[in-house]
Amino acid sequence: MRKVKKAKRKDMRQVAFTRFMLVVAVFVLWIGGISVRLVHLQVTQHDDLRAKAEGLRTNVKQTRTLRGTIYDRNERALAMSVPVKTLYADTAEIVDPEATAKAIAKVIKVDVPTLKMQLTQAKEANKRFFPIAKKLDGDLVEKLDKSLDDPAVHKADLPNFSGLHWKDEQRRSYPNGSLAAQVVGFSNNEDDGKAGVEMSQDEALHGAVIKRVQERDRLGRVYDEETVERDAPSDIVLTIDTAIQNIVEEALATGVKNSQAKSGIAIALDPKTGEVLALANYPTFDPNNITDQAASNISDHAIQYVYSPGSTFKIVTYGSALERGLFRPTDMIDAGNGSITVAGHEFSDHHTGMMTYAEALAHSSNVCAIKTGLRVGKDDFWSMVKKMGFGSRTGIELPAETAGIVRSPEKWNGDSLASMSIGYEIGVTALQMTTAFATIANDGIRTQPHIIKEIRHSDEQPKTVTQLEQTQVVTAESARNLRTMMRAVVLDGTGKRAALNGYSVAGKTGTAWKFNSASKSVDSSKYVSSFIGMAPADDPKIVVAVIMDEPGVGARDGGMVSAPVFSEIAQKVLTSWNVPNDQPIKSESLVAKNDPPAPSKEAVPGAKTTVPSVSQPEAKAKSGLQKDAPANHKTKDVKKTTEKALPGRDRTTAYLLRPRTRFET
Amino acid sequence: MKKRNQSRGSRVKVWLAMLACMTVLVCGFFFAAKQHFSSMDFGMKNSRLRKQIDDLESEKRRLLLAREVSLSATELKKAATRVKLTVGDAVTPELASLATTVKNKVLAATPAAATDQRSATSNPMIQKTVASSAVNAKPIAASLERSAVERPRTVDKKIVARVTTAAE
Repeated sequence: MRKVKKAKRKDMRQVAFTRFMLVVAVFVLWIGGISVRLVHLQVTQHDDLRAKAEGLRTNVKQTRTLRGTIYDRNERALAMSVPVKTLYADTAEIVDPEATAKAIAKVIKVDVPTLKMQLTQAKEANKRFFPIAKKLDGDLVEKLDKSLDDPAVHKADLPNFSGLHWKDEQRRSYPNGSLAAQVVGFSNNEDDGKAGVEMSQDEALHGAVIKRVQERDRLGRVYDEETVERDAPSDIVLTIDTAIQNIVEEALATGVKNSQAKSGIAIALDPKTGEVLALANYPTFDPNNITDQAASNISDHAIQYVYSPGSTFKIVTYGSALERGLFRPTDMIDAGNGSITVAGHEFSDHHTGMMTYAEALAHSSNVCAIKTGLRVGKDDFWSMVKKMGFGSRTGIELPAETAGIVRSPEKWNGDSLASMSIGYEIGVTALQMTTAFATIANDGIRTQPHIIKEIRHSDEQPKTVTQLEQTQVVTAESARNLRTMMRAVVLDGTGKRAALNGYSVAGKTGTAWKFNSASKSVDSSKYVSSFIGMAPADDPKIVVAVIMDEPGVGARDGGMVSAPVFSEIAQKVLTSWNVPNDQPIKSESLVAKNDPPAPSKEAVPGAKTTVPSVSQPEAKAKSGLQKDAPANHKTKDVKKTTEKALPGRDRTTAYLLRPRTRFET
Repeated sequence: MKKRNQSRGSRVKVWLAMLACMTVLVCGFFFAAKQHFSSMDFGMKNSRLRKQIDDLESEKRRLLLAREVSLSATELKKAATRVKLTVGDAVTPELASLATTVKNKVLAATPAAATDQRSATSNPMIQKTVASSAVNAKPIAASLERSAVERPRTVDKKIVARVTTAAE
């Protein structure tokens, strides 16, 4: 009996143990299954699941930091970016396009049926980004947010309206409008610089991409944010002075309008530092609104337009002669009967007889300049041309600068030296010519012109970018002598209208015929008239160049058209700088005003006689030119020139023409 | 009997220890949860403040642009014309602006000019000049005050003060 009981107990234990083991086995299998599943999820499918989870709670926003600001030398902003917003629709979230269109139309002036149609079409095409109103500023954004507030919708971001979102963007603004437009340039909608400093310094100005990883809760509220940002853009400080730029632009505009010129260029340069204080083109454009602008207005003619300098180039001729010690300004030179023949080519002008070198430059005698050039010789002349920087880019920090057109001596014709002595057979830019005059103003030291003062990084010390390159081109004595000769141009020569009240001026006029690419000959009815000068003459503080393209009325020479503009600019700038006077101040200003020049039929053949009845002697007296020239002499010569076509020459030779006759100076 | 009492006492101690542990654990959980939600809350506040900074930076930028526009030569000329000052009187636009300021002061000092001054206040220079541009048409101070008042979200006054100083 006991044995039976013992056996029964043993069986019960066995059963219990077996049952217990079964339960354990089930648990082990269950936990094992879970473990395997967990391993599978967390190891094998780790990346996918993590991405899914992050996708549900994170939101990646990519914006761009504001493009760098461009300042003038006095910290006045010339170009800056402001944040704006674009309203777009995620059409997948829009239920009722008509209601949406109506709500938007309450604030923005849009046609409801048109917008509704566009939204419907976008919805059908399943567009997730459909821009409705682009680049709105703060006020309008606030108005829209208020107007589009739908209480039924719960959104963490504004506008609180189903399917509508804001996209952060930026808009480039130019607070001074057209001021220094060619220098500053402009950038397009994609934040890429397309002209001027905007283009040349695009890399520094370009806004970095900011990546914001936002973690959001179920209601879309951001509770954590990580910002990944690259280097912030740099700001550019220019050498331009807004006040001077304004003076220069106003004077140039008035000058161009008065002379009815096709266009004009004016540059103001600090000769000591090579800093460009102002660089103006007229006509110009407003970079805030570049649509419908002529391409010619946008390009910077001061560095891209090549022209024959004419008599302003004589400073190179006389400068190289002075450097070689061939003469002193008071030495005499014989202009003969006013003509000279070089390699079968006759050059003639109206100045005859003996005169000093200073007078020869003052009255711009071509014969004297040619004789001087021939005395200098090919090699020395060529050397001076190169040292002055012609035929190579100045290196200014602006895009698309041209080097000009200068042929090497091996390609010269027999009369090339004579032609180049008076500023033909060579193509220069306005900036190259201004730099050459600045070299003379700076006692023969050529300083590389530059327009960027510094590039400023946000987290570093201001970084000066321009390493000044200075070269002694002519001796200080030669430069002083040349300045003395150029003073005579303004005192008693062709540039009387450039005179200032209270300051001495040294400068040179230039008037060159333009090359007509269609007829492949010089066109005697089209001029480039210029005046480049410096003041005060003994210690120049500023060099100003004024170049007028195709003046169309009155006496169209540089002394009549460009010199008054120079005078206006230099007078205002020197006065505002409080430069001490080196000349007595005249109570009644004798300084020429920038009035429309009087017509001078004999000075400019073929001029439009829109300003009536000024007799030839009066016109001569007014212009101060061609005192001895017969009235019809020049007209005849010009006719001869215009009829002389030069077939087979390409555009390159446009500026390399050999003069066929007497030139206006 | 003594053994039973001892074992009961130790059992109570064990239970008490367990209870304490559980309390600590639960408190820990609660504390962690509170910290978590507090962190979330701070994160949201932080995010809002960051957005506010961005908005104020944008506002500052717009105001700087408005200032630059109103100080541009074109706008100064318009202002000079408005107060009947010929631009030719001044050598530079800066001098023109200076002359305008001086003239305004003189005008303000004379009682006869009070009416003109009132009309000028109702249509201040900056308002008009800025309106002609593509930016906010409001004076600097007024703009900041208004945005601080009108905006539904609260603006940190310290930030506003800092931005005002920077804008000035």
